Amino acid sequence: MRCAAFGKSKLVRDQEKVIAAYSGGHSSSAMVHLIQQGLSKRAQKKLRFIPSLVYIDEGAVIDKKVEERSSVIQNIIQLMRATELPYSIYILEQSSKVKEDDLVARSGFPTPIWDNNDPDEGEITGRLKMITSSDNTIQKLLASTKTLTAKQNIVNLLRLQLLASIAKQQGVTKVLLGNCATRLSVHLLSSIAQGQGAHLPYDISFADTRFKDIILIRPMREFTAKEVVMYNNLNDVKNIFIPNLSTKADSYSSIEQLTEMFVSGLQAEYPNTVSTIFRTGEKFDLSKSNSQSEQTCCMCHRPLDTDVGSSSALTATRFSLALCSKMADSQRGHKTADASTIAKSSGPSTESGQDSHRGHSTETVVFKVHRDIAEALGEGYMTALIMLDLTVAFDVTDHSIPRKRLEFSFRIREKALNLVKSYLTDGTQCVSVTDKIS
Amino acid sequence: MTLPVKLEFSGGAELLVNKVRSHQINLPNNDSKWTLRSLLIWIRDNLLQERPELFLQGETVRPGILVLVNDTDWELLGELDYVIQENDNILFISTLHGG
Repeated sequence: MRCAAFGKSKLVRDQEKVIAAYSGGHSSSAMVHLIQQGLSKRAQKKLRFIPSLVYIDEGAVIDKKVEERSSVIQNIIQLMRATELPYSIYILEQSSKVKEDDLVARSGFPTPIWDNNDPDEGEITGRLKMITSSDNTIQKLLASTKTLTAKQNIVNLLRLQLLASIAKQQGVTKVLLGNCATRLSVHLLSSIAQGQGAHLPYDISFADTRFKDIILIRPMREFTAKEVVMYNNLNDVKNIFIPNLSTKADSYSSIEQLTEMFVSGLQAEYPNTVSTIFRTGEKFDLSKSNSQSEQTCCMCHRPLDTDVGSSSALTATRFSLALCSKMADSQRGHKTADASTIAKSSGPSTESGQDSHRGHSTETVVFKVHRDIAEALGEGYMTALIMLDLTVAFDVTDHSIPRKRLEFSFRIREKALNLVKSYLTDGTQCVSVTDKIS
Repeated sequence: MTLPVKLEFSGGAELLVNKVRSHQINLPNNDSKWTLRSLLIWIRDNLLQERPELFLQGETVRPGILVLVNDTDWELLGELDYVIQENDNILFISTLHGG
């Protein structure tokens, strides 16, 4: 089945060595099983490459004890040995190190802490201890991030970096990843939400060329998680569950968790959800992208897209951030003030309602304003920005709706409700200049 | 008369049921027939150790958890209304990242 994809893309040459990234999970187990099938003599279209398995232990990420990690690794060894393919085991600590608050690639190549030539499994614990006792970079790095979203991103990036350096060390130019369509769809939506849309083609394409000399291949990208699990179940493919960062995490704990809940919830009702997201994502094309930057990000190895013109989303975001922080300040003052709002305009620091243009988000408006200013400046005009909040003056909001919601959904009653009511209704608005009031 | 069934949890779902993958259980006598709907309620009350919201959503399982009855997808069997037979093998597999 996937042989067709390999055959069609002609990416992997005959007798070429490849690495298959194996995590013990559903998808990569299915991938390894498919490879075994493809290599067996009975296969109609034989796979012609020479695979070896790589497992990366990420126990450090969730502060697992050395003993627990070593027992997980021993389980993994049993599964990998059963495949009769050569294997090696690494740990995530080998990926990079922190140097003066900066991540740098380790000098030299990582050596496997275990491979199929090592006879004695008892040594694993000792080797793990040796590396982990002297090295707590991962823990330090993760502790320095505030959100689960950031933690998940870092772990993903470190894993890819390590895989790339393992491939270099083993003299291999192709790495097979087990990401299935469901995972990729979740990743696609969550990375758009995180502003990484420009780099999507790298993350979901069949052949990912971000490392230049090493190509990441995603042979499982056409299958949904359900198909993978069904395949494993029917073929009795053994897999092992290893807890990770998102285990037992709340649906709202990270952008990825939330997206996963969204996608799997939608998928349950509309079975085409994943393939629709995935096919749409596939339409993104690198060849048409404008950014031809030579510089790449040191973490994700994708080209930087920070070198852009002055009227771009990036500068707009920065501008918006600067403006919003000022708005937040003035909003705080606004709430403590009397209901009759006084809008002062002094330079760029202005006061604004939260819903300044009906039908447009504040962000859209900020972008538009910013573009107008940039254009005017470009043409040499004097530019001033005056912002007025007129929503209160015209009283266009139907206050009874939020009030009812407060009362019936949130049980806010009597004094508290009246307070909100008096704040919202019968407000007047005026402009004051020195001692004159309009 | 009790109804013997085998429940299996995998893909991370086993963490919620005391980390035991396989449960051989006898469903107690019931006035009406045992369906998957009533089985899920039974699981919630008797097997789930913590955080039922990670396994159930409303009266059905959380999206992303597959249910297989004797290796057949429960969607083919009428989902919640499937009447459980003696010695059925019911498998719950989480396809969610991190279980």
